[in-house]
Amino acid sequence: MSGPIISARKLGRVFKVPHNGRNQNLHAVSELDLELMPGRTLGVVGESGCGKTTLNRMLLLLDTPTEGQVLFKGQDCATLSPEARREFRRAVQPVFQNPFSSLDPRMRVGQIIAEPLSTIPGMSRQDISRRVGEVLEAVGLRPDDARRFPNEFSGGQRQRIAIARAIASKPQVLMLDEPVSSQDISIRAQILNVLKDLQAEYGLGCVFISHDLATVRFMADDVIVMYLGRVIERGTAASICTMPAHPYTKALLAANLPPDPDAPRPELPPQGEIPSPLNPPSGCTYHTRCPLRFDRCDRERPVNYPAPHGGTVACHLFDPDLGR
Amino acid sequence: MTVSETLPLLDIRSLSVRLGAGPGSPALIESIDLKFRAGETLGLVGESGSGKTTLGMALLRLLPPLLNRGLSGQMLYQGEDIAQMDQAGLTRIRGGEISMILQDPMASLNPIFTIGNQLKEGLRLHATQNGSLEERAIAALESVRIPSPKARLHNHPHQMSGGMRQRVVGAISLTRAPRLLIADEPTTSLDVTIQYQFLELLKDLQKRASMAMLFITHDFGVVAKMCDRVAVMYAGQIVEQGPVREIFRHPKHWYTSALLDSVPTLDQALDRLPTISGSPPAVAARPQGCRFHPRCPNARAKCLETPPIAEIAPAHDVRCWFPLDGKRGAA
Repeated sequence: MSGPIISARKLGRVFKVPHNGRNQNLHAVSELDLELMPGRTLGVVGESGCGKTTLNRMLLLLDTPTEGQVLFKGQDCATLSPEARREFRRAVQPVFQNPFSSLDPRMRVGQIIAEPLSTIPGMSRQDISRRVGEVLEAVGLRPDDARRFPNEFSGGQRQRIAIARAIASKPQVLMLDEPVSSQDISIRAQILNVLKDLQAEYGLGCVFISHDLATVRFMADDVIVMYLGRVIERGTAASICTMPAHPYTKALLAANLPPDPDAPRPELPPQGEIPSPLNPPSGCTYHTRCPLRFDRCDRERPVNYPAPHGGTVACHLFDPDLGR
Repeated sequence: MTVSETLPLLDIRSLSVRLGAGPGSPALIESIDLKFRAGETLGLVGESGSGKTTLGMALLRLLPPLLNRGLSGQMLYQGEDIAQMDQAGLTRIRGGEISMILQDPMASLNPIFTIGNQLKEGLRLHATQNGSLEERAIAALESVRIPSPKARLHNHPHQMSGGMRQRVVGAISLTRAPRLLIADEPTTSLDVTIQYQFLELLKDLQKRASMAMLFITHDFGVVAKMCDRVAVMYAGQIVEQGPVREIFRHPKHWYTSALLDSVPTLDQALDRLPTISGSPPAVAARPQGCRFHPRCPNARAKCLETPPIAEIAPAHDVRCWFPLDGKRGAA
């Protein structure tokens, strides 16, 4: 297969929210394009309110876009046949942030992991229990653990169970929404390694959503940086982390505190508050916080210009016609 | 009243907190020795359940009754023992001498009162300063860089962003000019760019007031930015403490070193992260001897005996029979 497994075209989601006594439009995600190639990991980085969770829900077909399309192997997901939709559900599996709420406390671990397998026709009970044992071992637990309940496991082990469930149906894509944020530091590294091993072993495509650029650098091949519902920069993980172009990406990098007491002070430290997505600033939505803003920034929304690192950046400073 | 230069601001000696008064009750924290000098920042790092919050709460005697009965050891604040203090003494200390900022500003602020109301509550107790309550509340908000502070006094907490709420909590805890601020994961609920600004603000306020700070966190990046010294906690004990550069460059405890290595960083692309096997033990299931030995790559028979905490380099203590030698990452 040569094309992307999942792609998004001009994807948008508008919520109607009551505000000051009337309904207002909240643009959670706007004009978002992305492509996920088989076996690649796409990192999605941004802070609260940037739309990364809404994006995740739309890519999982748990929420319906109000604009644009999600495509599964080139087919518009809005028009998938019931059969194709079932294939999508097997092929694309989620892992959520908090394994205390994503695992049903009344189900045994074996049942939790076997649940997605029930959608696969022709699997016998023996096949299912063998598969449950396999995936438990793949995430570093024991096949016997299938008989136990989630409350018998620590937070890190629970997240391994959630990952085991996600890979049980041999998916092609994992959608990972902040999968280590609720974990202790000594556990984070374990979970990230498990995910990376599985990715390599099964050739999984992953969407890895996180607010932490260092974690994304470790996990992802390509990165999109989101701010107030829009992609403001895209490129390879290495290029975004070593030669960021957008002032917001620079601020995010500056805010990432390295474990080094002699780290140099950042060139562009972050300033200002994240504006309300209900009332986003005009022009470039980052202009209210941008130390490099100029007269054009509050009037005109920047398009995606080519960035020096080979990706794209939505910032007027990179307009090739600037200053002509 | 001047404090002698040699006397530490706060001297914690073999502090333990047990689940009840019995000597056999399981200990949440055990034999903690720590000293604070005026104006310095001490980082207290550890994973969940290591006892760092219990230690912070013990310093203000805010433990629940069961744990309060299980408190032993000394906490000498300018020579007075907080562990033995009566209610009047504690009222004087709390907020006035030692103050606190907690993780979740929404839980520290009362949702049904305006922030002006909550600021003035603290100011009223502190009757020595000049100026009306209103003026002083506005000045307090200005000091934490809240824009249009006069209008903001009439806001309720839900009308502010998370970063702003945490700054209001900061303003409240600093109204009585404490000598020591306990900050328990104050930025964990904030976005990264907001966290950065809040840390800068805290540092600035601290410098101006020459206030000491106990910074409780699980994030080594925050420690590197904020702290002069670090104490690493594991399963209720301090396993290593020393100057921040020493700890980051030459960690002596295997836990500290492994924990530092397991954090992904921006400047290196690794295939795998070094990990620590297993997970931290629950309070009732803490192992004998060195608490870390079941997870330690260097554990030997001797590790079944409890190691003492010993000075290994100037002002650098470690609790390990076989401490690491050499520089981190040099191998």
